[in-house]
Amino acid sequence: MGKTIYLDNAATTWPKPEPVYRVMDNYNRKIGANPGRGSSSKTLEATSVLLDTREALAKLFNIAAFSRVVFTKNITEALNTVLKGYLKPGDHVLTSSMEHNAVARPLHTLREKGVAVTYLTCAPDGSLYPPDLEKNWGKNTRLVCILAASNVTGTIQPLQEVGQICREKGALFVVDAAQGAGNIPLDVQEQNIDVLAFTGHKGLFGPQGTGGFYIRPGLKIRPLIEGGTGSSSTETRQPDFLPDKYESGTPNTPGIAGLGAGVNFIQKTGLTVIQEHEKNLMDRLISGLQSIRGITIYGPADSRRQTPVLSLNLAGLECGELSFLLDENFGIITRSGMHCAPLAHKTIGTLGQGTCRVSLSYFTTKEDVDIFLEAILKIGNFYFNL
Amino acid sequence: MTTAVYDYYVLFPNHQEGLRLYRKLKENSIKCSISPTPREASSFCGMSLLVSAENVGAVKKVLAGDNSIQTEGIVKIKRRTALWNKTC
Repeated sequence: MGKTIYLDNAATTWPKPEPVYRVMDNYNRKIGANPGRGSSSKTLEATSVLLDTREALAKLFNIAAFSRVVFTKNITEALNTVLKGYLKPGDHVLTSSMEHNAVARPLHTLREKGVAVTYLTCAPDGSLYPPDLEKNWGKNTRLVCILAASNVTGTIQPLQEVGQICREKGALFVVDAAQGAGNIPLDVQEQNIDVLAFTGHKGLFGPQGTGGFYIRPGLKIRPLIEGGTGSSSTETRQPDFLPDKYESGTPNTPGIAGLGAGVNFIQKTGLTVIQEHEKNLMDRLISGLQSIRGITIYGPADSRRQTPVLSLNLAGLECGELSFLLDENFGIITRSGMHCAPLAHKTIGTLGQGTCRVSLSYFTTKEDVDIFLEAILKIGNFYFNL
Repeated sequence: MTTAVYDYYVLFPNHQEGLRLYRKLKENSIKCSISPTPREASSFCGMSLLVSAENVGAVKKVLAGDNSIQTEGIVKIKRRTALWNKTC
């Protein structure tokens, strides 16, 4: 068996661009200080890391003020902070039937505390129909939370249309960009996004343990965690200014350094170049799979309408078996099961069985895709010839 | 007529407990394999430990000796296809 072929980039991207590893190593060996604590030259170097990464993210997402970019340990923490810090009993939330548990679980808890939640049913290919928002809008609708793209089918949601509706009707528009950031253009101005939650370790090529959110000026969201911020230190009250309000305790500074290097890689390479590469690979993957007997593809099966994520099943095999065989016999890494998104699986009709998910990155090659297709064909032929 | 073969899957509440038992079994030289959980096992965790009929008794003994490892039981499932590259 040859090299490992990693096709689970929706879980976390691997490999990372070389500068990401170098920058993290350099931080740990040469800098190492705690940002925002004291005013030594070392502290200032550490603080610069956070500043530079905030600026890089602000540029990528067209955010005017980089101090509105807040770091959290991951996007789940960011989403919990926003949803639990904004909503009150009696409020109504609109969300989609494709959401990840990072949204669905906090909303489940909030529902038990008196927040009304409506899940807008998406089409079987995962796409949301924006007019459904207006049909389900209530007098207490205060927040709309939608994922930028599905982690199960890759389906890209109509963020601009949803953002426009939210702006007209006066509700907060929260986007879960776990899938999509680093793969498709995200523009908080153009798409009328009030809160953009991101993860560092997927399309943005940073390490695990990084993420955060952008928050539009003027929004009042209670922090989830309070503590030492290295500022207003004569007071026990949590600061009310950004980003300190939401950044208590020592951050994952080496991780944020790595995230900055990842974002810089995207800017240097060009998001359109990355998108084009991934689109070409997806075209190859989709057309190859469509010619294999017994394969079911879920989602749009159209590289223009999805990120480089695709779910499939091979008739007669459980998805777990398929991933196991791909790994054990061919060294191909995929992810099978529910993908922490039972709502999405219910929408596409796979709640009982799950799917085998394949997800590519800028570092996936044509050869990787061809080897994967060959492996699927071999497994399928073996099974059908039994 | 081919004789039915049965495999035993140790089920867990999460990956961590599965990994803990996997390491313990390896320390005790008991063959096992990390495996996706078959749907019919109805577990909430996608990872299970695959153990052969010959070794399931030894696995139960290890679990009895260390009640800090949480499992959700052991299920016996008939092997359906010869495609599985069994490594346990």
